Amino acid sequence: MMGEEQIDSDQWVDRYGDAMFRFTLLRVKDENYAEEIVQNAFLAALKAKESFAGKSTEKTWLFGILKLKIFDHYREMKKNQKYDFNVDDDRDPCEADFNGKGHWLALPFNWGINPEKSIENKQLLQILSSCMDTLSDKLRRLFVLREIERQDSEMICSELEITPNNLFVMLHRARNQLKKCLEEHLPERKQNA
Amino acid sequence: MHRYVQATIRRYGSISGLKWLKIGFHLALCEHCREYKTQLKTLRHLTQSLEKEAPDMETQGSLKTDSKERMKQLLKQK
Repeated sequence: MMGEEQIDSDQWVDRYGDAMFRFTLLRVKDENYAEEIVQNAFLAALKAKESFAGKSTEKTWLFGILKLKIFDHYREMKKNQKYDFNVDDDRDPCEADFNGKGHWLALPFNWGINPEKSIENKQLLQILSSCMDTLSDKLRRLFVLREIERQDSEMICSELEITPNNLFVMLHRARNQLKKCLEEHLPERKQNA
Repeated sequence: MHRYVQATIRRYGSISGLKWLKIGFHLALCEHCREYKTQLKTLRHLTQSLEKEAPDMETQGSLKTDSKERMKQLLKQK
């Protein structure tokens, strides 16, 4: 029908395989899991092929299915792995930035980056991606759910059975760890070092 | 107060108006806190951008050739 998208499953792997893999890898970190999830998404899409209404693009439709498979993976991980969301783990790297009275010891390092313009810097994105790999599994998972999937706090707390306060502390530590890591690898800083 | 502000910034959106007034006033005076807040803002922008860009960033990796072949075969068989 005119204006409606057609799907061609023979081309899926070549057209979207790599992009789907990278999309997944950002969320689950482990390459083997990422590959398995992409494969499951393709197979689920094949099963649901008849229900494709053609109102979205083939790509959007496939990525929608992929997202569902990633959430299935999160649930599976939660069932099989008992994460102990103890706030004493994963220390806050910014603790040392304050004295006993709660005053800053030194001015935070000026990144010299306009937040709005930072997104144009591909190198920074690459650094952030590598920094995310340095987070512990649990911090990464919380950070991805909140900042990348943009899930609301209530949902995350109920899914992972943690208190809101626990969530805020862990997210705070994740952000601070990423902030410190970015700071260490900023190209500007390397040039000045 | 500085430490308090740093710890409180993490709770965007869940703070009462009066606390925000106090923090806003403090931020206006505390250069350190402003710098910290700007860094977090940059981190947020970068994270959201990474979410959009990652699928197209070749440096983020790609499926192995044999994995691709296996997936193609599986799709053909079904």
